[in-house]
Amino acid sequence: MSFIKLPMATMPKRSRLGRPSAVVSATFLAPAIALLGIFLLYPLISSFRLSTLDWNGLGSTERFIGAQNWIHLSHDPAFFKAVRNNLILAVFSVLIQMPIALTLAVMLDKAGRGSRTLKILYFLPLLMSSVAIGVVFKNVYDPNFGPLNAALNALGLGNLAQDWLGDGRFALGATLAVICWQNIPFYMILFMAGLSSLSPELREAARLDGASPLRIFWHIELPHLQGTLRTGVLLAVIGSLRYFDLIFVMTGGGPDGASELMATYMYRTVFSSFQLGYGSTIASAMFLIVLVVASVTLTLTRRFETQI
Amino acid sequence: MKSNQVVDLTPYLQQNPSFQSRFLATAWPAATFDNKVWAIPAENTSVAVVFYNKEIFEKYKLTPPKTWDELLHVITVLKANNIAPFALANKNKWTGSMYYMYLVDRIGGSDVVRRAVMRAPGGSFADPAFVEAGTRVQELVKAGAFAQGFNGLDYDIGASRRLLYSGRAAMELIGSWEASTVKAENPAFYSKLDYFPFPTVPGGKGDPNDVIGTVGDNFYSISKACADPQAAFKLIQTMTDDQSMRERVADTRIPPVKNLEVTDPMLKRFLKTVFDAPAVQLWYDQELPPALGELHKNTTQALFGLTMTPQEAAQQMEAEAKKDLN
Repeated sequence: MSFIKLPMATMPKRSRLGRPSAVVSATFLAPAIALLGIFLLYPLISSFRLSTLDWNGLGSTERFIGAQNWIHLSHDPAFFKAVRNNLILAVFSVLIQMPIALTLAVMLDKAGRGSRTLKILYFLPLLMSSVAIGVVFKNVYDPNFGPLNAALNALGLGNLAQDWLGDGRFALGATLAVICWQNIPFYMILFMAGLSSLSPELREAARLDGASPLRIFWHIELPHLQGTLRTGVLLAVIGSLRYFDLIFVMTGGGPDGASELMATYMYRTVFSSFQLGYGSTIASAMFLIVLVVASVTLTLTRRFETQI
Repeated sequence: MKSNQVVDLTPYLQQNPSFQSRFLATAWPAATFDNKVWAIPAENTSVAVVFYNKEIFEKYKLTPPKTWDELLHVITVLKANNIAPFALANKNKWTGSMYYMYLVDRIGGSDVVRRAVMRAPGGSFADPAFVEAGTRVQELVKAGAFAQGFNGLDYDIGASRRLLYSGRAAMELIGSWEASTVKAENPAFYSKLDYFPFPTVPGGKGDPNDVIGTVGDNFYSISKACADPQAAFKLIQTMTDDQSMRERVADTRIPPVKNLEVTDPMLKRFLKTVFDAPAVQLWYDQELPPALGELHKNTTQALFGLTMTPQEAAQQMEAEAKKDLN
């Protein structure tokens, strides 16, 4: 048996000063805690407090109404439609974005240096502002002038040409496609970073043993990416439940609530209907829903995790 | 007003009757509450009218329709020639709302909204006039009166105007501000542009000269926290004096005052339309309490999308009105 020197052993010893004192810890933590307190904890508590009021957000006409907003929320069909749309968005974001991002990442990783231009091209959607993307795709989907329907007609697929954003049956799907287009590059980068930490010896050994590229992917690369995938799924789920921007720009939640999300519904309630109390109830419910769904996702994905 | 934050301007106006009479009489109702005046109308008179492409109308020998049946005839002819009758960008909701508001006025008269808002005896948003307005909106939709995809088109990116510019649509019901937008955006098209008032509806009680729009859409108020309201009122007077009104006209805006010197022919006609109107109904989404206004916009978009019946829309409005208007 040969003696293997573990890299750990060569690492420098812990600080000579020993554990930092409580005062030092507190001093270093204070700015972070103060910022979290002001920008996270305070708004959170305050929105729960506002959810007990009947208030338009202006003037001094607020009235304490206890749990009435919450009771109203529990039978508000518009809210449940929004929750349903958020869940659809979450499920399809994961099902569409993860596989495509993973495929792109693996292929770019394989192509190595030669793929630089492609990497930059694929990365572009992530660099654009959501509002700009929304305006561009509103024009793409325009049934009178948009290139999408024009292309379908030119290919003889005219019967597939639709009123993409104005028809309640397609509005959510059409925006979902753009959301995926915008976000896939992010997960692609995430997975590429994960793959780059895979040591090349493993792959080389497998290749020498005659493993096909598919087998290498399935038995080496994919298990290696487990943790990254889990992060990706979690981010996609949370991101979808809190989603706002492209839907707001492209459909405003319409037509007739067909693409309404919790966040767009909250926005309209607070800034168009001026019901600050009820809007805060929606925001608080949204926080609770995201918390629950995120924890469930985390537990579920952990259960399927295998030891490597 | 209810939270006691603005000053009642009635006494100031009583001391300055000549100042008050400079403004259009129809400008005051929007600033009046509880029979007291709380604000001075200062900016932008704009009314909704049906803009149309003169060239297309000439080509198909059409004349601006005065009645509902004439409008349906225009729609049939345009459809037969593969031109969308109306350009409508209804992602924004307030755009489609104009058809509904005009129909309510033409059918039930200018009083029906006022009574519903004041909760006067018999006043209701479920009044047959509102239901019929919804039915007529859906009649237009079913007749193919609107360009494809109207419920998803965005007014803010010019989706309806480019339908007009390209000649794919012939008409658009929109605020009179559109004239100055077109003039700046597409001067060549401006020469083809004309407008007509919204047609009448058979059996309707509304005056055909009534308009939907705003006589002044920005107002000056004085805060209760103001130490010297007398001086503040003087300042408001200066900011709405003849000189400042001339400046506004030079900027192709119509302030809500009488005796304006206007040279642009279309601007002149707008002024006459507003001046001759026996009643000017403010946009519902500005007149109604915010939650009710928002509901009006949503139910109207649903009416256009044929996903809600006129009865449902009217009942939802009345239910919310009972909550919001005491």
